[in-house]
Amino acid sequence: MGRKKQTPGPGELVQGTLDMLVLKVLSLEAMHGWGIAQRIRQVSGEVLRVEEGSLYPALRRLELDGLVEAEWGTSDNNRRARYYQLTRAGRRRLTDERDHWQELTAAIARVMETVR
Amino acid sequence: MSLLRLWRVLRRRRANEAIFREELSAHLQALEERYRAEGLSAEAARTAARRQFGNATTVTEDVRAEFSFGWLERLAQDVRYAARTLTASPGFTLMAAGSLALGIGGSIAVFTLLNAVVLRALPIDEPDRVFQALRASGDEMVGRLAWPAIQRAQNDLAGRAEIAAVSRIAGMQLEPEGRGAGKAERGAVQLVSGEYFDLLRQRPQRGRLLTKRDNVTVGAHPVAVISDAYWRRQLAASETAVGSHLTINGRAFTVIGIAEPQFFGTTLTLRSPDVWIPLVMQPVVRYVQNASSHDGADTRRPWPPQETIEWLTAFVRVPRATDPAVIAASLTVQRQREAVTLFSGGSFGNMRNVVQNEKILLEPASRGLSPFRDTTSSSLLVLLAMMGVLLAVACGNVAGLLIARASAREREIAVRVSIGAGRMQVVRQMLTESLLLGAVAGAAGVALAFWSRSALLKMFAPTASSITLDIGFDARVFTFAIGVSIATGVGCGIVPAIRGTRASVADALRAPMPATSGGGRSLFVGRALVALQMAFCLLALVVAALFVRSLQLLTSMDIGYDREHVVTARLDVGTLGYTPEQRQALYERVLERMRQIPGVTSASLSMNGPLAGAEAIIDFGIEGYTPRQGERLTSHAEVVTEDYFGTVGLRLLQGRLFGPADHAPGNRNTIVNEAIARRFFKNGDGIGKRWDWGNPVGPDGFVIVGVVEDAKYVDLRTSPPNMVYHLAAAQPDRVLSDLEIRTAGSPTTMTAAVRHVLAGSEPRLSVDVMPLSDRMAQRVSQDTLIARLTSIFSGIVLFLACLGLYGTISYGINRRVPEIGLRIALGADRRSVLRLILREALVPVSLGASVGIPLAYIAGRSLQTMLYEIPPLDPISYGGAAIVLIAVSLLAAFLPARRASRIEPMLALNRS
Repeated sequence: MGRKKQTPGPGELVQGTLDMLVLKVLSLEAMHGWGIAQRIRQVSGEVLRVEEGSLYPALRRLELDGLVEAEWGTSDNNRRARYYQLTRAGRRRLTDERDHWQELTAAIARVMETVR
Repeated sequence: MSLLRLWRVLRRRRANEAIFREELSAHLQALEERYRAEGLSAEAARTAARRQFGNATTVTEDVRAEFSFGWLERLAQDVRYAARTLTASPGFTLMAAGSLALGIGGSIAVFTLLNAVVLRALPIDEPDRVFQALRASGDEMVGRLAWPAIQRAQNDLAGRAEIAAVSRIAGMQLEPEGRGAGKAERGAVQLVSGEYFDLLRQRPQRGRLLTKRDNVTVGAHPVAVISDAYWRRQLAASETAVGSHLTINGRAFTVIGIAEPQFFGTTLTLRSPDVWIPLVMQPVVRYVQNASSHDGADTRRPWPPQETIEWLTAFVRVPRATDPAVIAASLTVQRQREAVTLFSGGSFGNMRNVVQNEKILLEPASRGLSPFRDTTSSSLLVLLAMMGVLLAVACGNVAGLLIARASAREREIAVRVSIGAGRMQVVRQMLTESLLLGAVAGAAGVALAFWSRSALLKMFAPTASSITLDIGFDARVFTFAIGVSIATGVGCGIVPAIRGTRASVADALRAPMPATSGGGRSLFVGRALVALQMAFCLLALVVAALFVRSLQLLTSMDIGYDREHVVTARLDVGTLGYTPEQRQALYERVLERMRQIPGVTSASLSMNGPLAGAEAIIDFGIEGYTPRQGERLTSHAEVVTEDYFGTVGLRLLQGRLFGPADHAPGNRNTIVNEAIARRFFKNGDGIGKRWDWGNPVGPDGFVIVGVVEDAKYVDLRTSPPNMVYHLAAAQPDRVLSDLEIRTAGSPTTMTAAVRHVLAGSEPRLSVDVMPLSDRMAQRVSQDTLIARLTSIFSGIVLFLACLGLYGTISYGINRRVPEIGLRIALGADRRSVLRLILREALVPVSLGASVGIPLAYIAGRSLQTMLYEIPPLDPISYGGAAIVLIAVSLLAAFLPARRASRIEPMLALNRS
């Protein structure tokens, strides 16, 4: 019973896009759920605010699809946290998703420029 | 969902709860810290963190949802819930499952028998390529052929198809030898041609099977193949069985092999063959049954080489690439050729007449031959239908109970629907409950059927000494069981499920307890169910009544013989191996001793005997009557001693009975029955006319000296056929197998004495002594069984239907207590309340009964062949059934009605 928003408002992300961003964040370093949300917010300049309600189901999904792995570790404030990291399959998926995204945005840009 | 993902899901599912809880709390703490760092107080930080995170429960659920299987998980959930509901009310569950299990178990047991007798194919390779060769002329189809004809067919078809021949299964004395061997007993023996086992693609379990080389010279191949069952039963499954001696009817044979365990031959019967021997050994073992013989046949000489003795059934295996019709046509052509070349002489007049117009047909024989398949299958189908009716009525009761329970749970269901359960989900859950009930009842039913099927089989064959028929549960039976259980579950649950969820949420939540509007709707459904049940009930009662009436007519009919004073005994003279002179001496000895028993008025012997199940049919030609083109005139024939007619009670109508003047061997004086006199001598001038075995009737034909009344010789339902009687003394080489004794008193008291005397005069003789009335009972055993079973089951159906009626009326009264109380308070007489309730109860009953009448008529029409002289609209059966139905229904309605009339108005009004 997952919620899939089809028409996102400003700052909200479609499910597939969220997956891609999470994969990208994890490609740079392993991180826990809270850290991923923070990183996305920071890097996007506070524009993209990830809802926890979407983040954790997405993380589970990626985990069950074998794209990320998780294990318990200690965070910087000495707290037990579950760290996620990319698998090889995850890296491959990230590449595919990025290529697809770039194609998509280029196509949208072309349309937006011609139709004035 | 890929397998890998499935595996991951399964592995991590359980750990997820704890893991996510920790993750959740860690995330919240981190959020809290951030807000603290931004300057909020501890309280405000915590609230802001929670708000930021969102609905923790929903997120937890969403995460959990990633682990779900979708429909499979929902199903498991439904089943668990259904199981909980059912175990919460054990009384209801037990009663519902119990009554359903009765119907399901009964159906499965009947279907098992049906499967064994009608549906199952022979356990051989490619049974659909095996056919039986039948001779068809006009409407008649005959399955018997002479051995030379089969041999010629074999030559004709060489390479294109295979043919093998088998005899009927015969009872013979079997005496095994060797370590662990059993005693001598009467066993089942079948004579077969050498190709038999090859055609059936059989391999021996031990030793070897019969081949063509074992079937060459008459009387020169004393070899036998035994069945696995016989080997285990009578030879203790010993290693030395192959090669040991086996005595069959007093003659020595050698066991050369043992058949595979599942092989039982090509005849589906209660007692499969214990031994197979080459058919050329026919004269050695004295097999002399089930044969048609024509012109020039001499049954005292070996049968295999004779052209005109037809005693074998032919099986043909047609290869997959060939069309059986082509083979049949080829055989027909050959048969026509035979008619011209072999039977051209004048002495073969009958044979030629018979063969000339014959066509050979190949009928599929994949299920094997069966002497009782047709009669048993119709009885079984009737039983199965009856079980279906029982199940339907039981389902109606359970459905009614489920509806009542659903009404009580209206609030619960409304609440569930209001918090988002979804109508479909609730319907699905209720259906799961009834399907689970059906499954439980189904499992119990399978156990019931497993336990009762042997008893059921025994009911169909009470006289069989040992039954080898395989009534195991195979895939077909289990498929049937599953199908019936599912149908039952759906049938019980569909109405309550749909009805129960139609309740308006607002209404249900508002009203404190039974709303009268809701009561009206459920009452109507309840009454409709009762009406349906009553329709089925009437159907069952009428069918049972029809069978009972039919049985009554059958047992009370005039069979010609005197049933009350005759004892009969079947004498197995053939197995003794006597010469004709020894036989004569035996007959005289037996008759002498019988007459000396006190209480015996007279004694006689005959060839076949009254109602013995055996008959002899001859080609018949009579003076003054020329048969039409293609008409085949036949008559039954009997050979009797002088006192026969007086002993069995057949009256003389014209002429005289046998006397001392007729005793010379070769004497031509005979007696005929009324049927012959009626058909051929309308002016009553039969005495002195001549008849013979076939046409033409010469001057040395048989002379009619007397006419006796008709009797039912073998079959009770058909009108008496032609019958001619020869005097035994005039036909000294005929074997007489039946003894009749007339008693002064009751025949049952005499049977012991008869048995004793017979054992004394001839200890080796196997006898079967019983009063003639017992033989009559055997002839109607199927009808008796069906009448009894349908009566019992229609009684159960009546009980269940009235239980449903009782329940519905009680329930209705409970809901209408305020209304009834009001009536009584306003001055209604208690008796009028009683009458009101009873009148209302009669509505569904009579509605159902009137719907049931056309159903019963249809059933009566389709059962016509099984009923004896009972029309499908027999007024006594219908009237009786209707009276019973209404009377018992009124009784069932009386108890709650009486309760209603005793309602105290003050208490009733207070309650609402």
